Amino acid sequence: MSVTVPSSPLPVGEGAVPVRGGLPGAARAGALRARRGLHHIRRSPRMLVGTIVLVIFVLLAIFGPMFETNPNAFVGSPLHAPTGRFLLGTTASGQDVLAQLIDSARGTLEVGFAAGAIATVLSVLIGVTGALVGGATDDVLNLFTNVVLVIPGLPLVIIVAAYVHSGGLLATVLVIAFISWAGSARVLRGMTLSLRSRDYVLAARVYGESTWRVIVVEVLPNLSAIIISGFIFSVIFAILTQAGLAFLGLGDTSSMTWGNMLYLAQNDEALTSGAWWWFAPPGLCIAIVGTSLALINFGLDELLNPRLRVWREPKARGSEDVL
Amino acid sequence: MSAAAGGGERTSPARVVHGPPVPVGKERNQSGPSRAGEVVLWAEDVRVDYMGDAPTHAVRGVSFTLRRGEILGVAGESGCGKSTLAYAVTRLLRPPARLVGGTVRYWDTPRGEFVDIMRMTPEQLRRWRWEKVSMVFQSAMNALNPVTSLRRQFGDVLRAHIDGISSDEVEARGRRLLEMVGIDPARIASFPHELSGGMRQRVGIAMALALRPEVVVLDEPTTALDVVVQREILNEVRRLQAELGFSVIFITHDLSLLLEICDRLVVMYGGEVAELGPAARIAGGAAHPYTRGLLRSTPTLFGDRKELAGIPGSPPDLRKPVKGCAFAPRCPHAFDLCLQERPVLAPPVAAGAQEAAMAPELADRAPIGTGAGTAAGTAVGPGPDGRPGTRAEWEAACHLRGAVTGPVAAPAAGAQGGGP
Amino acid sequence: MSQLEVADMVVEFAQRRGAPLRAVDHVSFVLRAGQTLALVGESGSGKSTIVRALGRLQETTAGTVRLDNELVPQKGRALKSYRRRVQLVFQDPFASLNPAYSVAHHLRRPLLVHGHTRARVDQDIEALLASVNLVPPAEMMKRFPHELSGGQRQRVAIARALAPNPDFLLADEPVSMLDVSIRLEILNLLDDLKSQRNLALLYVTHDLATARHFSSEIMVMYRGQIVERGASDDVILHPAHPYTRLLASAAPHPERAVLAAAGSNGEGTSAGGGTVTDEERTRRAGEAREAATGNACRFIARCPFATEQCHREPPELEVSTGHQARCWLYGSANVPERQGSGARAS
Repeated sequence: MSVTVPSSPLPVGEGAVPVRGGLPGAARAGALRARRGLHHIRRSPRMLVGTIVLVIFVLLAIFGPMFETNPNAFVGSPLHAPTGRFLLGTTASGQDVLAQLIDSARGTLEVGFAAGAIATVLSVLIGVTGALVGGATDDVLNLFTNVVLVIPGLPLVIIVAAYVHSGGLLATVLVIAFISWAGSARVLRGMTLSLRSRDYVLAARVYGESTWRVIVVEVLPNLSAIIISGFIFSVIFAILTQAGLAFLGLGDTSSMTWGNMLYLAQNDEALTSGAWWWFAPPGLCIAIVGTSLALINFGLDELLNPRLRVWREPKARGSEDVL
Repeated sequence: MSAAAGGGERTSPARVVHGPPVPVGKERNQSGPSRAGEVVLWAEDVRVDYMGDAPTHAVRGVSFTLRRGEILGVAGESGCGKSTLAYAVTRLLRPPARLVGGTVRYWDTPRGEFVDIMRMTPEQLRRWRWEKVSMVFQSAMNALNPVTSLRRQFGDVLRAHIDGISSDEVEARGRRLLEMVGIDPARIASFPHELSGGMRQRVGIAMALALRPEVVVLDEPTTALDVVVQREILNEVRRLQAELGFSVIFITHDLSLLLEICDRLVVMYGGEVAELGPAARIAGGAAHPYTRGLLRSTPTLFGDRKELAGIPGSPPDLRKPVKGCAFAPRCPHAFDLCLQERPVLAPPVAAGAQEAAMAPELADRAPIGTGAGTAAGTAVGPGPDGRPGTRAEWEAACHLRGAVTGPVAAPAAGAQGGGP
Repeated sequence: MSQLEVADMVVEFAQRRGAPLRAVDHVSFVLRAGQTLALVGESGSGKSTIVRALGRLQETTAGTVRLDNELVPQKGRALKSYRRRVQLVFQDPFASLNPAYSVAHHLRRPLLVHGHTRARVDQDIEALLASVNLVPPAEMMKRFPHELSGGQRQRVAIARALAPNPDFLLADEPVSMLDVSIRLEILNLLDDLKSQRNLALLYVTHDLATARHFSSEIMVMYRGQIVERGASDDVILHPAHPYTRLLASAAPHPERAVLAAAGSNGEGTSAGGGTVTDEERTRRAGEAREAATGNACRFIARCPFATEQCHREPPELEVSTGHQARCWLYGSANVPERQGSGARAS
């Protein structure tokens, strides 16, 4: 360890030129940028596309089922290809695939967002608290985080899901949340450690602000961008994991999710019989929602780190090469 | 005990840090075999923008020349564009920075002509850098590769530029380079993190000199270092420069340091050249009110205590178009017209006949009014004291020692600093 | 009259292996109302650690801090009245303001913590901003840090430190990250505030020139110890400790350039040409190896005057009245004539 007295006459840098800030500057301004997020959504095409697609699916999940018939009702002839009446055809038991697809959107997004939210809350509680309290608490929490991080996630989920058939989707949500919080917690811990020694946090301590107020008022707002990004990542992970589990026939197979649709389609040999209208739509939906979330995350990254921004100007003179 | 203490001035600790004194401000045109006075690098009307929602015009029409064997200082505060300028003239700009105008020419001795560096092919550029022009950065730690030894890093540089160089030769050259900058050659096996900050900066300089370039650009090389180490590095640079005869562009915010070590000085403000001239002339009496303000802003260590004042206000926002003189809002001598019309660089009259006799692109410059087509007696709006001023007074304000002789013809370099 | 007395402060940092690193080694000084004390040293000398320890952000290993003769605790509720009276200004104006909040937030919190009422707090904020010349206050308080220049941010940081109406202001390199043209304004502001409010100011810096200019007394710190202290003109114009002399000679001397320009360059022409002497190399090697060695003088490896005696740690010895140096050169038996010092002052 070296002396922890950062008193060297550090350079001012070209601070007044706004775009030259490296990562520290970017992170510092993170909270601020998050607050101006709406403005930036319009600026970043990736974020714009991602957000529009996601909003469409969310609206579909909320309002779609109101206009649809009971997705489990046997309404037509089995394995019928798309027609005017059944836009996406029917299942092997003669159910409307479109109705199922819309209904499953709700279940899938519920799992994704619920698991993402729980994982995020866990990561904030464990990561931020450890870094701010320090000492033995931090050691224990950090060890716990690292242990969870190295547990092979999918096998664990498979084993647990195989045992809890009764819990419905909630059990799946909890298991997924449990294995996905650790990565964000680590990132948040590191970031908090760096924020903790920022001068404005020290200044708040010097004028006598209480510890919890320092955490909630001075530190958390500056973590918001990272927390949001971690949340989105957890949602993607949860949706994919649930689909994977369901496809394997694990977890709660009775509720409507895209993963369960795939499971049923595969069980009834939709693939071998060429009933593409049954298995392709849920697979595509999973891919599209995952992509839209990823696009939003890319957009967030651009906001956090201006260096990643894509410049669409014509090739610049004298700037095309790097030492 | 007393024997040790009785050395007098010559053995005082001061001796330890003083290198060979370099006469400051002495014109070197006559001295040396290196045909001093020739132009090595010639930048004309360089403009750089940082692209973004609101492009920042970081460098706005800067022209200067670098002569062979001189130390040219570039002074200015954060955001004045001095580092950006250095990156532009070495063609090292990276997006979002973008060169939007101007040319930079390098004197190619074998060919006997100026080469436009913007037209170089990647291969030409690769050879040009390091062999002809090299750079030392503020943080040597970032410039050196942390995971390989100095030996390998010297090897990488030498092998990239010298075809078929043997390992023994690399080793020998690396050791000689280290020795040249005052580091034990045995250190060639060291890794960057094993060296102190000052030693790393020395290694950075050794690397930059590995191929005996004609121009070395030093970008704030001592800013992160303590004052004693800074002094050692400065002395090292001056010693090597005197020995090897390369030209130096020395960039720093520390004007007092530049006054001490440079031959000529470019003072930048708001992306433009505020003043350009021999360091000795600027030390003796700066022409531009900004330079004067900067000089007044640094208390002297041993001089009398006196009331000191900085320069009120803050630098211009370069995202917005700057109309007129960039410094006008902070200038104690500003007339209303200063906010409207951009001054051009011209020789301060007091600089004298010697300056005027030199090639125009080498001359001493400070901004004056454009003067074009306007009689000296024309009213230019209220001056600093509220009294209506005349054109002549306004023009005199920027170089408080004399009258203006009209726009300067700069045939070789075009209109120095005169923008559209 | 209020005073803050630091006695024998020691701060050690635990290291992963080996003995703890002693960043501050038996430092004593007194801050008095209406006076500026400069603490000068290079990075790593421990000067910022002293500020942090006095701000009670860093626990001290040994020694006492007394505020008006009352012992100041390391932490706990008892610190509240101390916190009101002792405030810090940090080095980096870009890190010392929270990017998520407006200027008003930065001043509102310390005011509320120290008993101002919500009803009046906006008025108080405006008064504070006006006192640091951030005008118009009503508009400045709505700004966010990224909308302010470095100098303006440092003014906000100073206003925040003034909010609890302290008696002691500890400024840790308050201008080193600012542009040269703005530094003097901030230092003049601190100086004015000191006079208006009868503050005791600790000015921590690596810049000898501003230290001399803005303080009545200077302490020079080297590797955790105060090596020289005295009235600022004494310390700068007649530096006694070899380290202070080194610092003074290494600082940029624009006047040197002026002298050279005037053709009156009368110094240092004897230094040899371009080659590195063996002696020089030895010195550098010593510097590289330099480490805390037992009881020896901390400067021994770099000192051109070092003798056998220097293997014992020197006490602070009187150079002249009120001027002390931690150097055996000033032992009562052998007071040397002061070579060369002051020559430049003339």
